[in-house]
Amino acid sequence: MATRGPDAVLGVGSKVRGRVSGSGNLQILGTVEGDVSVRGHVTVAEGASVQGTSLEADQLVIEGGVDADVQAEGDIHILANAAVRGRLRGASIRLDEGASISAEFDVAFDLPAELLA
Amino acid sequence: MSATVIAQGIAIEGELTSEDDVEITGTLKGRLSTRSNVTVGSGAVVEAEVAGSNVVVAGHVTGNVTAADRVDIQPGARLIGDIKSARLTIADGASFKGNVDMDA
Repeated sequence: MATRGPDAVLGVGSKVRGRVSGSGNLQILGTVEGDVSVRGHVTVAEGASVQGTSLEADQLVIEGGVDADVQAEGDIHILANAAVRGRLRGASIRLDEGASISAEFDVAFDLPAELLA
Repeated sequence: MSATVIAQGIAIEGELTSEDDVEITGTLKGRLSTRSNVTVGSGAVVEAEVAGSNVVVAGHVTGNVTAADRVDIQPGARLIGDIKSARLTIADGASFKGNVDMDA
């Protein structure tokens, strides 16, 4: 999949107003005002922010602020210091304690065995 | 502060501003502005106004380039646009179409 070449990085202090697209891994350390649609692994680092209509990737790790509808083909991992507003849709969503979430979850999951009895 | 890398396969449409170095081997359409250095690698496609301190072009740029320090157009590069920079090198094997203003 998208493991070729070095990662793309939007550095600390950088700002994009517009659209980020394509394929490859992307680390967002700065600010994006707009949509992100990337085939690959996207990280929104602590201190970074994405404000737009949509944030789409194969896999997502969120440690920063996201105000957008978030969609991943695979997993979404939201870490403790993240702040997320919007709809979350992914194959699975992992939420660490301490994250601030105001979101609608759209994810299929299996109930634990003890709840199925 | 940390560098920004627009890797091959990644495209930005819009405005990119940075305090730090920006390296592009992917695609950028719109505007790019940094106080630091810009490297447009071979294979990169930039259709943008570019402003930086040192600007090194090895790929394709369509748009005006403004550099606080210098512009370096390397072999194999193609630049269509006006250059505003006190210092400029254009290597053998580079192509350039536009005006140069060194009166910075």
